[in-house]
Amino acid sequence: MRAPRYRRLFRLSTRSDERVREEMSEEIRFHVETRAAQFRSEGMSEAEALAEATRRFGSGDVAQRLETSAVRRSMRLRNHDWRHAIAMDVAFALRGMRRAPMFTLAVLGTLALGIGANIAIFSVVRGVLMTSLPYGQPDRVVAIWNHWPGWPRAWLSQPEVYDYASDSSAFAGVAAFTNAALNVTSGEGDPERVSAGFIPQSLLEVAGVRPLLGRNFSAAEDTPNGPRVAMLLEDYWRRRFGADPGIIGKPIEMNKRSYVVVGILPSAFRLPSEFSGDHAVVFLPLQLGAPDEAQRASHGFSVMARLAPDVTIAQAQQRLNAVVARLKRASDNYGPEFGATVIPMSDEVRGPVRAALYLLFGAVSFVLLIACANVASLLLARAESRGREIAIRTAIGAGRTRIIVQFLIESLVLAVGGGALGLLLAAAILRGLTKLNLVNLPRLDAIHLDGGVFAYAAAITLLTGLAFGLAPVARLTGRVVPFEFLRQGQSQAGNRSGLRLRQTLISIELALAVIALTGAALMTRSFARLASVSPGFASDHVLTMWLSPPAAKYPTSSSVRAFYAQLLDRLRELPGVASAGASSGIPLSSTLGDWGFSIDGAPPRRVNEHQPTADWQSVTDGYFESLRLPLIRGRALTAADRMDAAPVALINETLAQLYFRDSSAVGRSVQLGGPMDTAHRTIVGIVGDVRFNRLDQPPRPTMYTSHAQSMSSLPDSAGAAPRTLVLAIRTQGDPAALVAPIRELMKAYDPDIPLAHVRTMSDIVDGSVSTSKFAALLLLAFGGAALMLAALGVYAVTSFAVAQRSAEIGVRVALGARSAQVVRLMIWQGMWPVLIGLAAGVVVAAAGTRVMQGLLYSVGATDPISFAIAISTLLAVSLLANWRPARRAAMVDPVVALRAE
Amino acid sequence: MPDNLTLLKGTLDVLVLKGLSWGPMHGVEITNWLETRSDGSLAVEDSALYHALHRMEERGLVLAEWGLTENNRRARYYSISAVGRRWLASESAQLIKYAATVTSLLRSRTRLA
Repeated sequence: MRAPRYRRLFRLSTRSDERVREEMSEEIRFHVETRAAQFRSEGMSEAEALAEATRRFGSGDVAQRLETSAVRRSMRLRNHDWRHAIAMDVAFALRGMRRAPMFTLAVLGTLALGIGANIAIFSVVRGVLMTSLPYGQPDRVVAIWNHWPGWPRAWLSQPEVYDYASDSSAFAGVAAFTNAALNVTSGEGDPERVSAGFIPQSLLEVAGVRPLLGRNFSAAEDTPNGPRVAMLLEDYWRRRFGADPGIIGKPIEMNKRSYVVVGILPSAFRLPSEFSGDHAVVFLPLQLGAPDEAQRASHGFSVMARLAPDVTIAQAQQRLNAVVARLKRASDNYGPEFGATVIPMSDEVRGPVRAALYLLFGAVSFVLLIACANVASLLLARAESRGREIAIRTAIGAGRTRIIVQFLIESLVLAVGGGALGLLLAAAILRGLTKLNLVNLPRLDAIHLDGGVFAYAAAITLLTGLAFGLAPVARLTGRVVPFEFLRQGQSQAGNRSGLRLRQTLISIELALAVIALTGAALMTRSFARLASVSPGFASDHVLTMWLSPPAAKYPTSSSVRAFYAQLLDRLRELPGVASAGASSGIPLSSTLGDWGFSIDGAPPRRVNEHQPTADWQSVTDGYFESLRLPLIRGRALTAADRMDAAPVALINETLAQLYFRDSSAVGRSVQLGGPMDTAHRTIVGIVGDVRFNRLDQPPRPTMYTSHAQSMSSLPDSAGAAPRTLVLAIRTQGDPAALVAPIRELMKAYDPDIPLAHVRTMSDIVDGSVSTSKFAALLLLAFGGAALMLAALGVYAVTSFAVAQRSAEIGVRVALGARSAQVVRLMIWQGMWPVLIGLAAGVVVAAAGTRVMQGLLYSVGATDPISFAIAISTLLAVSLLANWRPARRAAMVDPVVALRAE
Repeated sequence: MPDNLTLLKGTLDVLVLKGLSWGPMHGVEITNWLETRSDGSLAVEDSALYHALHRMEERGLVLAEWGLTENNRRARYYSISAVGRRWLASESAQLIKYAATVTSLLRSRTRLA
């Protein structure tokens, strides 16, 4: 009977030996008794029968010997059982690890770092880039953008949405959307300002998403002036309304108006523009209305669409181009360079970060490779010193395969240990990443350690183990001549090829390190340049916050203007406030709409010439002072620029240079395009440029109008004055200290209006470069790790070489070599693989860093300074790493060295 | 007692395998079969049989399993394996040829025939 599997794998030999003995003894007894019974049936007496049977069986200690032979046989069988063999190898490996704790610690630590960082970045890549978007059949969902010269991605206007949707052979559905913010007053907690999305009835179908509770908007609800309804995201419904299942059909209050909740959407649902940062938790019907030609020139909608079945993106793009061509013929709103593009939604969401993440993944893989090379080198050194052990094993009959398997298992055990520690490290890194929210990655919510990550961790651990495990094995498949090894410790010939192999590893490590460090240097310089760009305003000591007086309470334009004017007056009276102003947008955190405008008295536009356009900002007095925008010419806004005064405007330098090159702009009169604000405004001043959208984009022509004079051409009752503004408050002391007093003031002024996004301007500026900073920091960390590992590797190999050549050095010293010469000799021996590696690495890096160009700001991919920094750092560190063992070589006592030979 | 022919080395294995080729047997059955079929002229020490069985089990020529006899006693049954059958076929052919050659030589009346 075969023992159960676990017994065969793990049992201690004594138990099974006893069992085998017992069984053999039972078999012998059976034999003798049965024979005795046969003899008795032939007529012998019981005693005679037993005696005869025993005699026939064999004389002496035959039984004993049989039992022993049975035991030995079972042992031999066990030894042929490969599973047992592997278990023994693992036990042996673990014992070996315990016996050399420093070595084990070094290897495990190196592997844990390399594998752990790799797993962490892989999880990020997997979550951000590979997890599919929360839409049905996400590869069929696309985004549609207009493009104009200077504006590669521009919003659509209302009639364009219908025009593009008209070709049903290209798109199964087209849905426009916008977002806004709302003050929510019902539910648990204080009044809260949340992001909201305006979506048409068709959007859920385009996105392939269904409400968890309730229903989508109906067609009646999605018409202008339709009933006020809303949908909520599930996690917001839980947080604010206690997951009340009866909320369907119940009203909630937002912006002082009542909206009936009709549906709850899955928490993972997002509008395409909202995968990183804030996202809409409330959805209202878009109520687009019938196509209205009057709105053709006002572009404010984003669009997502679903491809028609069996249509490729290229085909959809072609059909869209046909629609655009038709539009251009029918209307003069479109110049010849206007067009529309279809982009797969995946590219839209992930495109910007893809390159950076792949770069990080490449860097961290380099670090892992260097770590492997180091561990391989360490194992090679250890394999040398185990020559005797291997010789003995071969002599007593272990096949070469057995020995190779044993070495591989030792490497795998080390790798598994390092991999397990690395997994823990990766978990910690990921937790830190998501909690600290260091960087605005899309789909951060999709990053976690799931089955795929574990599979990757297992695979990479295995590969790592094989990679460095093969190194000592490669040494072994040379001639393992037991006799030589047994004679004395090591043989010279064997060591030479071991040293060569380790030097090759060093060259590889240095090449990889050059690439990693060059990338790090490039990224860091790029970030430094970016961070030093002057944004055009002073960001210190400025507090910002958004708010919006609800139309229900402030229905007219004059009430909105009065609201802000009085609020600002009160704010200026607060102690610690140096100046206060409001604006329709704040740099580096919102976008401005652009408008065409016309210059009074300018020659009429030629055909095909573009109408002048400018980003438009509605500001109150005090805004320029708060941000310390420099005034170049003329004057800034004052409190006197009210409704009853002449309408004024300010422009920035870029606009002045672009459209008023040959004449002074101050005093000229302009008129904004569009049907809404048709006043003729006099330019009273020119202010400095602001990098509004991104620090790495040049400033755009901008026009500022006075908020107190906005929408003067529309009736007051329309309430069309810009309602949602951001306050910019310059403080004398620490801005954070004024947050509480300002909130108090706001509560006293109007308790139903919450303040949103309260941030200091310096935080906003830092946040705008956070991705670049994050990438630079990580690359520096990886580059530093690569540097350290490479230095350790160089140190270890040179120490080894010194130890190996100690006899030769002793001879040289005895023959009169001075210590300086010895040092130089050993340093040269240590440095030449370094130099080869550096050269190879520079060549590869020069070709390879081109892929980084898109991520770099004002730094070329082959920037020589970065290369120089990387090379010189590595050279210096390698020299240092070589110097210590070389010095030790010089202190070798020739007598001792020669005697040991 | 008839003369006991001492077995030439290695032939015990072949004989045991031949006996097992008709079905599994336990140790006593094998001994009985050998004695019966050879009319008692093959003298096999029982322990030698077990040594042979152990050898063959290690080489994979026989398989062993505990079973129950007709008297419901526990006994170790040996059966021939596929490898064992192949080995039996080749070895017995060789042995028979060897025996025939030796027999023919020893029976020759003159030096040449």
